[in-house]
Amino acid sequence: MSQLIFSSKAKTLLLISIASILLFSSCENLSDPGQPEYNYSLFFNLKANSDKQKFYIYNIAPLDEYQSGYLPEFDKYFVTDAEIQIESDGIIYSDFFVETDSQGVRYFTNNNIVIYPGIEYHLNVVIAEDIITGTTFVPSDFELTYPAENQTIHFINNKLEVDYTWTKSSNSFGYLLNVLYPFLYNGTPFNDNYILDQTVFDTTYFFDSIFEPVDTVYTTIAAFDGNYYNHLFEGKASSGIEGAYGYFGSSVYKRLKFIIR
Amino acid sequence: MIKASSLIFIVICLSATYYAQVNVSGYVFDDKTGEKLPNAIIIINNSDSHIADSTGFFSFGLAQGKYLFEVRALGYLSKSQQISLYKDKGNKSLFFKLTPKPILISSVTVTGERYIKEINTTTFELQPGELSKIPQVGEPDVFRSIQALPGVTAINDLSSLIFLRGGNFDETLISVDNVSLFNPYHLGEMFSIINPDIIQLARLYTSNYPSNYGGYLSGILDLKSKTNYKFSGSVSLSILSLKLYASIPVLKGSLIIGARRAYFDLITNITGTAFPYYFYDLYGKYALPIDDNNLFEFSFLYTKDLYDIFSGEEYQRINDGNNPSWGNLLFSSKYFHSFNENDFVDVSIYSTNSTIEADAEAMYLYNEGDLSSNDAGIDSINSLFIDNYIKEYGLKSSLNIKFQGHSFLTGLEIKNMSLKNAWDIKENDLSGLLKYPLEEVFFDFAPNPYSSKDETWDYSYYLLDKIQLNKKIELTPGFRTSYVTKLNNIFFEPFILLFYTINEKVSLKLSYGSYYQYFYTIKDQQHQELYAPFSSYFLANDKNEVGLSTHFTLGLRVVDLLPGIDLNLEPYYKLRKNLPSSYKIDRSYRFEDGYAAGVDILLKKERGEFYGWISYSLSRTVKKNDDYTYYANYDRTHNLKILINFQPWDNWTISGFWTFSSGLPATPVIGKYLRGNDNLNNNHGFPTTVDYEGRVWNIIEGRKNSTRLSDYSRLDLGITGSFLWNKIIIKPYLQILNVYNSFNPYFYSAKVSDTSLEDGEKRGSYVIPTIGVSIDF
Repeated sequence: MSQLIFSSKAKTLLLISIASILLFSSCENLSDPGQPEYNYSLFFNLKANSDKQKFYIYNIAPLDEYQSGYLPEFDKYFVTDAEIQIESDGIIYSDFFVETDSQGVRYFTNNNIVIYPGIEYHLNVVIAEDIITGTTFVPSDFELTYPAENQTIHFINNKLEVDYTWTKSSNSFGYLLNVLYPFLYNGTPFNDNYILDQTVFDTTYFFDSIFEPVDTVYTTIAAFDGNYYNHLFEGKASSGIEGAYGYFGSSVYKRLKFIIR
Repeated sequence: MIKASSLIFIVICLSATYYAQVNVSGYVFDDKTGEKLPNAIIIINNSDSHIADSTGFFSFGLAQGKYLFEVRALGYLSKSQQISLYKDKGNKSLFFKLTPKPILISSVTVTGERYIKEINTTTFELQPGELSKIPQVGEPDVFRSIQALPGVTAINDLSSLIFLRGGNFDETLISVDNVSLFNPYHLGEMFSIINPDIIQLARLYTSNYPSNYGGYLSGILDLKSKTNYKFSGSVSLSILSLKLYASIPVLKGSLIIGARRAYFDLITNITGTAFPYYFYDLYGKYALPIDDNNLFEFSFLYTKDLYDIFSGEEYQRINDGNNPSWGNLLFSSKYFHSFNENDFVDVSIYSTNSTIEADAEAMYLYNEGDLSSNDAGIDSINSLFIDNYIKEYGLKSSLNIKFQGHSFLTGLEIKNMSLKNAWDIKENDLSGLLKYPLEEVFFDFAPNPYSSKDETWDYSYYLLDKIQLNKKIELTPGFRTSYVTKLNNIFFEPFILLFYTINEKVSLKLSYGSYYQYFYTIKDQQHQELYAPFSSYFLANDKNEVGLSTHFTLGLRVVDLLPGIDLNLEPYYKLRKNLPSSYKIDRSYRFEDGYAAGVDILLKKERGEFYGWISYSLSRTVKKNDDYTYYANYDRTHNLKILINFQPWDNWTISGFWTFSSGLPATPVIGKYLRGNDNLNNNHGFPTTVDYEGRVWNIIEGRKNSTRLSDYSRLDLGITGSFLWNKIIIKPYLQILNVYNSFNPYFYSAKVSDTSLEDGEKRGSYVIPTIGVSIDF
């Protein structure tokens, strides 16, 4: 054995063997990247205390699809022939129709659905042979306790400070605060949006500007459910739905306006 | 008169001789450890001899000419060297490095050292002289030197994490003097907390480690600190830090001190642009030989990283709490007793912890003083409350006995491990500072706020028996068994090693080992960023979810395969179970099985004008999902590393390190879908991108790790010199990383172009020059 190991023939054999093993065992065998799991994306935020429900259903797009242009190309991604049902406690809503917003984006809507806080809703969508189902539990109602509607708040030294307080909305995963200045820059609306943790029930908002807000400021605080939160903030691809990317979520909105002086 | 003339003539001749002499001075070193050798003998032309002093220093005069220097020291191979001395070139500095003879020198060594060294399992060893010769970022780093060894994978240039033979980074025990370290990194994971000056030996078990270690799925990096009973020291300055090292004889014992501090913040303070981060570490060890058979050791390690996260002018602190800081604290006390030359026992108690703490709160001042801007804020309090730790304390004892052809190593270990992960972070305006979404700083999908606490006791017993069956065959069976209180279960880990010596130059080994790991991290690189800053550890909750890895290794070692070049060849296979893995598609983590297989080849030349190694690793690290198999995040199919050291001139060494490896696996993007208008745009969740029309697209990822980044390569060069000045050795070095500016891939992400959304990899290139100097005394 020892003679074999040290002969030059044996060394050559050893090196060839090693090289052969490496060569034959180093072939790549990566997995197939696979196909998208679903053919559609769906975004549906059921809004309690709202007079209009609207939601979006799109086709999945190839990665390298050309994207130039705006409305014509954008429109082709929209699914127009979906059969939609929303059900809660045996009541079924299925009368949905297509509308287009001011930017030309199309969506489904129903002006007659009354969404109640603290209630579970089920979604069923049929598109050709695909079925999308979902469930959401609407957060319970809550109250905006400060500021009061039409309250006057002073803009001092180019600063506006507003202490918002509200009551807890059970089942909520967080709150969205929207502050809208409709006439800030020569009549141009200005929006501020903030996401707050579910444990926050008061916050101080401040606005620091040489532009004095004109007269009226509108505020919306929305309590949203876990499906909405998990999709938009936790990155869960399908949240509250089966059969599509996106989410079927819900929220409860409170609105008020106050006066700036 | 004649006498006077003769006297003057003699004086003149003597003076001429004296002034014609060249002063020769220098040191004699241990080639492996870099330690100075006292009382070495320098023989000139086989006649005159000079003796180095107790510090290894020598100095004498010689006339101009050519001489044969022979250097001898007890326990070392003698070295001969032809040296020419020229008067017009001034005094001559010489540094002789002697190689230890292959015999045991000391009767008092660290516990089990001799025994385990004789268990020829899969080990690589690096000593101080080798650690410092691998070009690195900033300054020599132990972990980065380890990354140059076969079987070790590095994920990128910024990370010093060690991935051994298909194991995740948290599957390797990193210990100093046999005490575990957790999160042992400065600056995230860029540098290790180990000051290389204090290290005597870095021993790496890439798999099949013996049963006197335990609790880790992949391998062991066992760092042994120096013990030196003579006075010596060094001061080192690199672009990263200032280091001090000293060994001081105290009361018959050896006191070792090593300290290091990053100084970039101090420099920027002077220039008025405060850099809000620095780190320091302090190591101390006192070894006291009570007599020839008894030794007492005490050591500690304290490290700290501090980050003044709200140092910017845009923040106003509103509490007096502590800024984010993280670090380690280690204490160890050991008593060693030698019954005779073969039999010894030791007992040690220890405590080690890793903490991350913060209690900082600040108000973000929106565009303060700039009234021409228009901006608004809400609840702009930013706060970091973090209280994370992993603590371990315990007792270890081992007994080494030789008896009738058997060498037994047995031991008992009792340890308590406790973990706490707690944070509440309001990061309204911290996205630029935190760099990573909070959910990925500590572990994948970490919620905020978060709080968890856990604890367990672990009682372990191990036994190894090395049996010399005959002159050629050595068998070492063993086992480790542990009772883990949290899981209320006893685990059994068998080990066996068969070592066959074919002749004095060729040997074979076959080894089997089974290993459990009772804790884990959830770091699956979901962020696909350059490195992960911290790791949170968790204890297994169920005995059926405990990680298990079974190792099979075959080894061939050939000494002098080619003249002066040794070969190590090791095919291996690891069967792995219950590996934490995470998935972005449904933001979940689960336990999966898998395997790692490959072969590591090392050609190493330790002596001569050229020395270094060529290592090649072929490996596959596979995990199995329910539906398909995929390569683990840190899988690199090919890994080639070449280290060459060359000594072209006296006292100068040129080092070159070239590495080439296959790209890391990545998850491709296979589709996209539009978002509706009823959403907020944010990037906290899965990847999104905005096209040039302002529309937001969500990205659909394909199967996990079903593509690869491009191949990686890099060439680093370094040059190190040594100069003698008044018994002080000055060692400057210059290193250049990525000499040919290789455009290497970092991570994979989707990108949007003018006309389409594309998937692709992020690449970057750089050339980093590094200079430093070390002054040894």
